[in-house]
Parts: sequence; C-alpha cells; structure tokens
Amino acid sequence: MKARVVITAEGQVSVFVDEGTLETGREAIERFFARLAAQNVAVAWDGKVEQHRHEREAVTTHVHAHERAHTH
Amino acid sequence: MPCDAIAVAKGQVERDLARELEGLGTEAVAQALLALLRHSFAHLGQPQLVNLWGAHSGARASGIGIRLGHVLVRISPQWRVTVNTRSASLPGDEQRVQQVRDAVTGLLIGLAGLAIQQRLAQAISQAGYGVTHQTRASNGALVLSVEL
Repeated sequence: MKARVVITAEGQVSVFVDEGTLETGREAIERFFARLAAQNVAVAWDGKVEQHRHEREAVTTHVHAHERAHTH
Repeated sequence: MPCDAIAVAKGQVERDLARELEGLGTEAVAQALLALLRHSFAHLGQPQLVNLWGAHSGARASGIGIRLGHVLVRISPQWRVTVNTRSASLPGDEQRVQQVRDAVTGLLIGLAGLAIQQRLAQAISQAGYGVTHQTRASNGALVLSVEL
C-alpha cells in the first residue's frame, strides 16, 4: 500500500495513504504508529483518520445581472 | 503539502532539543557552530574552541566553549546558550552579543529539527518499511514515499 510520510523539523508526522480504502488505510496507519513505538519513537496521535479525496468538479460561474431603472 | 489521499493521519513526536543534540554528539555540534561563526561572524575574529571553567568551583566544566574575538559563547551540557563579552563592553557589544546568541540558538534548533527527521526516517526503515523515495519540501519537511 503506497503512502507518503511527511516529517517536519518541528516533529509533526503526517501519513497520507494513497491506495486501498479508508478502512485499510486506517489499519495501516495504526500498524505504522505501533511499529514506530516499538522502535522507541512514540508519536502522539489522537486516533483520527481523515479522508482527503477531492472530486474534480467543474467550476460553475453564476452571473447576476442587476438592472436598475434610473428615473430623473 | 500533499492533500489528495484516501486516509490521512497526523501525529506529533515530542521535541526534546537536548535529546536530539545529544544524538548528534557534542563534537559534531561544536564543528557546526564553528562553521556558522566562521561564515557569519568573521568580522568578530577567528572562532576558537576553548575550555570552560566553573565560575565558582574553578574546575573544568563540560559543554562547548568558543571564543570569537572578545565574545565568548558557552553551551552548557543541557544545551543552554550563554553569550557574553570577556572584557569591558565596547560600543555595539550588546547588539553583537544578541546577534551571536540568536544565530547560535537558531542553529541548535535547526540541527535538532534535522536530527528528529533523521531519527524518524531511520525508525521507519528499522520498523521494516521500504522507503522508495525521499525528498524535501520547500518548507524543509522530509517527505518519504513508503510501502505500508
């Protein structure tokens, strides 16, 4: 399962799983953090796994024409 | 930052400056400090490593000591940074001391950041994960392509 791990200099670790489902991704992430802990690298993680899959939607444009009647 | 992913999780490794710098070793950090001072503060003089002595005990103290002209940089074993002048103050000393202190502190923080990234990358490999690609983002983050 392909993933990207981003580590900042401030110690933030982000895991982006690019294959499978949300559920298999969650399992892989849990396993990943557990294996890091076994290497004496404890990552504080709140257990949240989010899905960041965006649909390529067509951009719709709304044009509002306002006509004003000017009476002098 | 990559965003489009099926599952995303974010965690935080406790950042312990002393631990990360300990891992690099005093000698390596001292050499990095010398390089910084040689490059950025050449106008103050040639930086030289000096022995540190306890102010009260008079005994030799551990840590890193660097003399830079009449400016003395001391890094305690707990990695606290002290910068002062060795003799009576000259005009501009206060600013010089502040600049050196900021630069030294910044370098130590930067080195600790690199160390934490390196330590995590090693732990990922040692945990049995294959790292297929490694790159660095524009913000300095280490980006690993990993087979989970």
